[in-house]
Amino acid sequence: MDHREYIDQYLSAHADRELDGAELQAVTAHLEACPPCRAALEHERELKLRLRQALAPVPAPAALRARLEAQLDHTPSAYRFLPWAAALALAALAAFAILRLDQRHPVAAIDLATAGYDQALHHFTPTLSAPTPAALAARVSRQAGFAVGLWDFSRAGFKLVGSRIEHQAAGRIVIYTLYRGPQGSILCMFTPRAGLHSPIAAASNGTHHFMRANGLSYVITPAGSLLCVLVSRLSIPRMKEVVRRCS
Amino acid sequence: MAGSKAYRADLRGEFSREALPHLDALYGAALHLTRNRDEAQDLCQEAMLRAYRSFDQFAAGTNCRAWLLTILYNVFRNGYRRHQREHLALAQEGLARAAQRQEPLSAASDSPEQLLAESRMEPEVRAALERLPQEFRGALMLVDGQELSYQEAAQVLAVPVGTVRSRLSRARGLMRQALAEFALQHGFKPRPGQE
Repeated sequence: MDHREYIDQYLSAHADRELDGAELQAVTAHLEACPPCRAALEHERELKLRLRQALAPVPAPAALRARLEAQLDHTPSAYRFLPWAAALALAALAAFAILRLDQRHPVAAIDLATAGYDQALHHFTPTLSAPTPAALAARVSRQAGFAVGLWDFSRAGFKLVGSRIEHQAAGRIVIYTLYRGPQGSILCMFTPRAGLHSPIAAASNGTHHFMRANGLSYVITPAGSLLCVLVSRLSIPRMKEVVRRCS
Repeated sequence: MAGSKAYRADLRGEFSREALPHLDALYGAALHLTRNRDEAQDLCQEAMLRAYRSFDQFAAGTNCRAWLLTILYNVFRNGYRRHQREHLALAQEGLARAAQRQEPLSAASDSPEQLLAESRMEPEVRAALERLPQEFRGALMLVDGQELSYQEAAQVLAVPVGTVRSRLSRARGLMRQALAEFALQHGFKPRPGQE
């Protein structure tokens, strides 16, 4: 990669943190040896900041807000029929939710995480443990052969139990880490994204996607070449709070 | 029925918490699309009502703003196409009334310059944005202004992710160039790394 190639093809997406995998490795290697491109990246981020300020949403007129509030009170919503046919509607919604899950979420990853969570609820024997998530992450990374950054949920009152590294069929490595808190447990799963059915794109790297299914809350986070899935019985708002406090 | 009212109140409350906080974001996008305050309000209203009617299709915990913007753009695209068809039919019939109908529309429209001028942006940024093609400005608005990911912006615009990436790259390239020219004209030297 040379200076021109970086500027023309990668700079913008790099500043947006939208590169991963081989592209991210290539630009990281190039930037280490190219001070002008490092400066260009810094200026691109400054430009993004100026654009964010310039293009930030403007306040909607108060009249629009008032009109909308009034109309919403008189508009039938999607669920209006529920009180009259609750059982039927719930069944339909459940089927719809499963259908949408199939279409929009990494089913294989969710299955892996759910299986790990169910198993951990009954019995969880760590193959690796350490006093802190950082120390545990170093041990896990060495054994797994790739770098893993483990969550530290101590600020939200969760205690680290330990990690299990499982080698599954087709050579897949899955790392389960369990945390226990006063209101329930959180299981964290890391596994390589390669070979996973994962409609959550590389483009959303580092973004947390929250979803509720199977009576469980999931937080799905693409992390470079890995996918991280948190599973818990805690509610979505509670999980959002935990993730916010511990990010 | 009491149960129905309570349920609707819950849902209404959920929509108010999840969706209504994004009204400003929707209005900004609608202004960008319509370039007219009245049409932007109508577009927002229609999009919000449709979102409420299909709130069951929103996956809790996902990006509500992106979901609402997708609906807004769909409403705009469909409405715009309908408007284009109507305009064509009227023109083919040779009705003078068509011209009369268009006139007040354009008179009520705000130029992009007017709309941009009312925001709090730096003058050189505004000038550079004004010179961008609309599709480039739109990509910047979604990713920088609305803070969507490329994937979300692609969903809103109904284009491939690669198209979003290339539009942004070209848009920022043009912005860098325009801002560097502005700096030179005003006696500032470009910093290392700037083009």
